[in-house]
Amino acid sequence: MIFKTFEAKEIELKPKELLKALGQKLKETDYKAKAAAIKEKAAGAAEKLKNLDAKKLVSDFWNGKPHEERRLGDLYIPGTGLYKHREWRGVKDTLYYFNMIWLYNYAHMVTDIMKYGNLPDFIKGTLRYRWMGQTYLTVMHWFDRGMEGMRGPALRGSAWHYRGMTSETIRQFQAMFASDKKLHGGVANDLWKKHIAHNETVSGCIFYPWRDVLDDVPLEMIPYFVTCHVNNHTVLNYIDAAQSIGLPADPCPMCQAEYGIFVLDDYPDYAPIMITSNEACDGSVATSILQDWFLNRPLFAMPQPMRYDDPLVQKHCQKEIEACWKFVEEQMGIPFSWDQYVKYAESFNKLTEFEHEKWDVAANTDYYPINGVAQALYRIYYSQDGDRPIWHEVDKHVRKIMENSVEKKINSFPKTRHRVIAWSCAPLYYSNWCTWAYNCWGLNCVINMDSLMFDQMLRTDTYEHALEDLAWFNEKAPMRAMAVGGHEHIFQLWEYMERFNCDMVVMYDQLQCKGMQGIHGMFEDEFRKRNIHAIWVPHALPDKRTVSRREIRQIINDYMTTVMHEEPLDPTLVDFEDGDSW
Amino acid sequence: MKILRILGKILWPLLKITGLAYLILFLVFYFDLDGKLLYTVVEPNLARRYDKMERPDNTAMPYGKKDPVEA
Repeated sequence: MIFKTFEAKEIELKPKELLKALGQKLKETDYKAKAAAIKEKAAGAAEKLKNLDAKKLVSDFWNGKPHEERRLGDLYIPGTGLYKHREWRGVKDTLYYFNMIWLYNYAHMVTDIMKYGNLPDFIKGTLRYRWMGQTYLTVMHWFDRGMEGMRGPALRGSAWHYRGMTSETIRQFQAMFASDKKLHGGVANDLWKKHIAHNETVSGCIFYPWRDVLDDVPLEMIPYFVTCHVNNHTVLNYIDAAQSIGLPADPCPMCQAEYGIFVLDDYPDYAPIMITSNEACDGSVATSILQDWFLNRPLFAMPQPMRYDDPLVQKHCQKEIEACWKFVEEQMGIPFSWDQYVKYAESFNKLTEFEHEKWDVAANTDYYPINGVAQALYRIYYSQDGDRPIWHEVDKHVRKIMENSVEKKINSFPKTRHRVIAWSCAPLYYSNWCTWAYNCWGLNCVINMDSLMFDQMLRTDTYEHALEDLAWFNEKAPMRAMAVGGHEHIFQLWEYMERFNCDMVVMYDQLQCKGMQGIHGMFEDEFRKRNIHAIWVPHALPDKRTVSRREIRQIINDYMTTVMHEEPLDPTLVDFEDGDSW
Repeated sequence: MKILRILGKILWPLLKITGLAYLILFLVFYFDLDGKLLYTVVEPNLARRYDKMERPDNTAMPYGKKDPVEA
């Protein structure tokens, strides 16, 4: 058994080692300095007591402190991202956070584990897979990071988005564990024969014709994508594993991590077939080849064109989808069902309709109750995953909160100084940068590129229309449409800036994305020409070692002070160390 | 009255236990004790377990070998 200190030192929990460490600590302690510090603290507290304003104290307790007095940075234990104590948000919001977010989600994590599978499989999966054990137990801290400083409807609406993602994540990993050969003595059980594995970038909509009889589960969504957001330590093992067998280090680290999972044999074996894609780029093609090698089972590669606007490629895309359907029919022995396709496509259209309503509120009012990180992650997750009951349940709650917010004209982000649009692919290890940016600088990230993908209703009146729309839907996937899909799509930024009334751009600069690197200079020229405030945020997608979160904050700080000449709303958030945090 | 007294005898201790449990959970929440336990004990021990785990060398499998799959 080992114990990790807040200074990230690991100590063996053996009596001898412990005593040694304790003795060392006692020896190293400067008691004089400690006594002086205590004295100073006591003097400070006495001074505070003298000047105590009882009325203000009661108001701060009841309503929470005003934004500028919160000093959220003081709550962190340096380096760890842990809190000395969680934020006091006033009685109402603190109790809401405790009851309806912290307790509610811990309790529902347990009930979801039972609902979507069973406890023994969950324990086996936790002990077998690094991406599972090291990541998902820390999920409430992911909530904390995303919800810092949030109050009222923004706290409630954003937390419901997180709840949806958590529940769907549990459904997916429990589905994988229940049918995983590796957890069941190498035996393919009945569930194994009823699963389809596919790349996380192959849309779940493709599999609607079998949704009632087969379960399609994306292979890397949970082991790779979601882990980066929840606990960014995990993914580094997979990136290093990919490079350890001599594969190059310069492709997209997403692709590296995806095949690194296979190099480390950390993938669950839960389905007889695999469907792969070329999103986002040639790096993904390499992933498909490596997966074909490691998985050793029937695999269908479904590449889609990068320059998809060309009308000549539409028929080709549709044929690719039909070939995929034929592959599923042949391999699984279950015929395509038009009725099932219609049922799920129409249900999914309802999610898209509500998304459009949300965009309208975000674009045209100050009453949108969803913060930047919840908006981005929820949208990309459900639109990639396809129709599932949990998304409808979440939308029902969010609709109620949003309508109430609009009706009562509640501005959830009253300290907004700039309405920001975030463009290109985000740093997965710091998706909650926008929560920090609002708390520290009043930068309100209203919308982001990934949210605007998959903007396609799916017609179900005829087979031909359905196929046409599904092809478009698949072509409008996040990285294909606006990273490698041609400059006309990437430059849609200007239209969206206007539509969402944004006055500033946070321009993600994925250092290992050749598509976006190729257009960097053109963006620089356009920003100057159009006189747009744009902050370039370099990052390496899931890999926090290339550009740390602290460095990202420093870049934004520098721009806000030297270019915008603004003062931080909360100075304690300007610079702090969180290198070892999840 | 007697029923109320009996109910009180059962409900009051239940209420006390629930109240205490609620208070303890609130303290765990407020002082981030769940996070601290995961950071200091759970994560490092799980990570050590995964580090030590024996794993097959997938790269040893020849590329192109295809087993028949029963679906």
